[in-house]
Amino acid sequence: MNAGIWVKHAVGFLIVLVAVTTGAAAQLKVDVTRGSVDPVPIAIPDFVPVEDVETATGSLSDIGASIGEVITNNLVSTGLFRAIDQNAFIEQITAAPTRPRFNAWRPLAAQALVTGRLQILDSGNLRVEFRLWDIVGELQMEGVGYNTPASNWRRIAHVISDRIYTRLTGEAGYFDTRIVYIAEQGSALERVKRLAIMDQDGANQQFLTDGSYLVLTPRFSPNRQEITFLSYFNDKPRVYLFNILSNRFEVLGDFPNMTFAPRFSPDGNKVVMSLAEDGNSDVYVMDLRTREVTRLTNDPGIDTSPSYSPDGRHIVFNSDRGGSQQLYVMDPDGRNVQRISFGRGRYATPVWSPRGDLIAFTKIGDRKFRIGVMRPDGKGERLLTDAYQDEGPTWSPNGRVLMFFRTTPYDNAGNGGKPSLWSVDLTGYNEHKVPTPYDASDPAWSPPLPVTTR
Amino acid sequence: MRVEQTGWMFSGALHVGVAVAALVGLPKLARDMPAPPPPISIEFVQIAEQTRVVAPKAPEQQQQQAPEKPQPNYAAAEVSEPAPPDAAPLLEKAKPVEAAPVPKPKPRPQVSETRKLANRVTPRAKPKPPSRFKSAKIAALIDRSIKEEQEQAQKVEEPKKEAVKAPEPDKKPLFTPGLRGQIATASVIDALSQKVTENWSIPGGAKGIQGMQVTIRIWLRPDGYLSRTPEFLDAGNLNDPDRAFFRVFAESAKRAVLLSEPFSEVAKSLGSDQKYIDFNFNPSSFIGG
Repeated sequence: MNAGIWVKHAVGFLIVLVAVTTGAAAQLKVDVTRGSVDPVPIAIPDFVPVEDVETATGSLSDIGASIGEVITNNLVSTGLFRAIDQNAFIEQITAAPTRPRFNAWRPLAAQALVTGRLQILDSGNLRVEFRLWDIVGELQMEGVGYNTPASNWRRIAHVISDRIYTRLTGEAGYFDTRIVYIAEQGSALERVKRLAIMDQDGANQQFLTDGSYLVLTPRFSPNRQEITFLSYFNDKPRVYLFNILSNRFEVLGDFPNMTFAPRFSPDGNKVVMSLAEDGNSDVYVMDLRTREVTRLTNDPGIDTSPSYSPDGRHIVFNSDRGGSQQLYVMDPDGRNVQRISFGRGRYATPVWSPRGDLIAFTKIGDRKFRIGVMRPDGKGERLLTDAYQDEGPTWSPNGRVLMFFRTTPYDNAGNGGKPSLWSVDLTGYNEHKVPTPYDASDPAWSPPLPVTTR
Repeated sequence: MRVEQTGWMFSGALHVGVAVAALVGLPKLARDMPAPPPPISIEFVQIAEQTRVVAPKAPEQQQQQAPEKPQPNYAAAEVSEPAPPDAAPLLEKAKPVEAAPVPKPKPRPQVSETRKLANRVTPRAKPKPPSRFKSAKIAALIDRSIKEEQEQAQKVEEPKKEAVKAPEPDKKPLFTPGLRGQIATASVIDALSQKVTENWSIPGGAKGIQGMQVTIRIWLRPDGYLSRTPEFLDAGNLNDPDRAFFRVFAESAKRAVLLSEPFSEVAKSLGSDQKYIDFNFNPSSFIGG
């Protein structure tokens, strides 16, 4: 008992003590619960050559200006940054590796400054160094140098953009990536569809196929520079693999019946797709190493558009088993099927975010096709676009931006029906068109390109 | 039973040990900046809360005025409060400071006479009238709350000057202004919050930002500029690659504070460069859980 009293005393004493000390430590305390979500002002002067020399790609000062421009376009396109007009700059950034005069940048309301210098090494390679400065905190946040053939300057600009983006948002960048899509030409009855690839910002357009055969639903491997797509050979659907870096095609298999929507698993070792048999399509998965096909769903309804979660533990797909086309989630072995979408309208082409926290889809309703996202449990549904016909969403590798294709409505003169690529970020506010030389549909976003580092 | 009892004993001994360690250790830790600022802090917090609840109602004013007998005595307002647990220890702390140094600089009969009755009454009454005189300024004609603020500001400065000569006038009048003063305190906090809000670019879309919050402590010079670099409180290791989102979030908050410099509106009422302000950034309600 004695000890108990002691404990009581001690505890009581402690309480008083805590009250006293916390009281003494309390000071004027201000809660800040709101802020602005306006783009952050950032200053990106041209990268400066140490010595302006001519290279096969152009003069070094031109390359420096172009790198600055690419970085600016990349960052501004995210909607998170606002580039400050170069004419407003007070300090002239030089190639000297010194700290900028922060006082000269503060009046411009710049919060960050990117400086860079270029130089041609003895080996003939281009060296690009950049530094990211915190104008408010007056310190260097990042500083990296890259060596590369001068013709590679554009990729270096993307890589630098990624570094800046990552440092300022905490998120992996997506600028050093590519997009495959279907380039379409010709009248509606004689449409030529070719597989095309370009940089994420629309540069470096290339065609991968010649248009002599139909190409559908290209999809990127999540971890390799490899595409799977659907084509027809002798009027039979065929799933192909195509390696971008080695330019090699591989036939994954001929399938006797209708095949749709092949898509890679997160480890890149499987392809999940839907096969139609006797008018009933179900979800199947194929192991790329053993070429073994396993049936996952067995339902009289139409099950299609399967997509893996990034951890590989779930598959989302759409099915009309409940009467209308809705989204369902199941385990990778086909068990435990649960419906997740319950809103008005129909849902199609679900795609799981690489970040894992959202599922993007095409929502059909109100006489429109719109792009939306919801959480994997089906809650928190938001529509990000509101046009006549938006469909086929694909995620940026960091799960922050969606690309899709938008088709214009036909007008009375019979014009319209032209698809083009658009991107929108998760806020839904920052929507813009991706430039392509021809009509474009069915985009697929690549994982980040490999960068060799020492 | 034996084991249990010894267990209790052991536990009790440990608790007492912790208590003693805290008692001996903690005050020491805080001793660098203890005497003037700690009491102020408490009053600010309490008053701000009360103001929000009470300010719109009229009866509170009546209640407060009633105990104030002939003169609106600042001490009265304090006494009439429901005596929070921490109020008592603080008074104890303050007493020795008053008692010991008082006789030295001011060996006047006044002090010795009144000491028996109430040591606080006379000293507190003293500094008040002069401060009121000085505070008759232009702004006070327009807004009475400004007047209170100015009074407060002057009172902060005055004791400091006098402190060299005589530590007699204690600092309590600073943080026990009338109801309007309380409103003024709340409005200073609101103004600060508003100012930093305008400069805060929230990194929207960062994963998990709904659950993030960070506290930044700033120290001010009398002119309202920062006397040293703001510090994060309990922010952990920001260079942890797994916490990249939090680092961006914390840095954005720090930038907002730096952009809000100078804090001239509070510098007047805070004064000494020892004092600090904590800004707690929590966007959950704004972003939406």
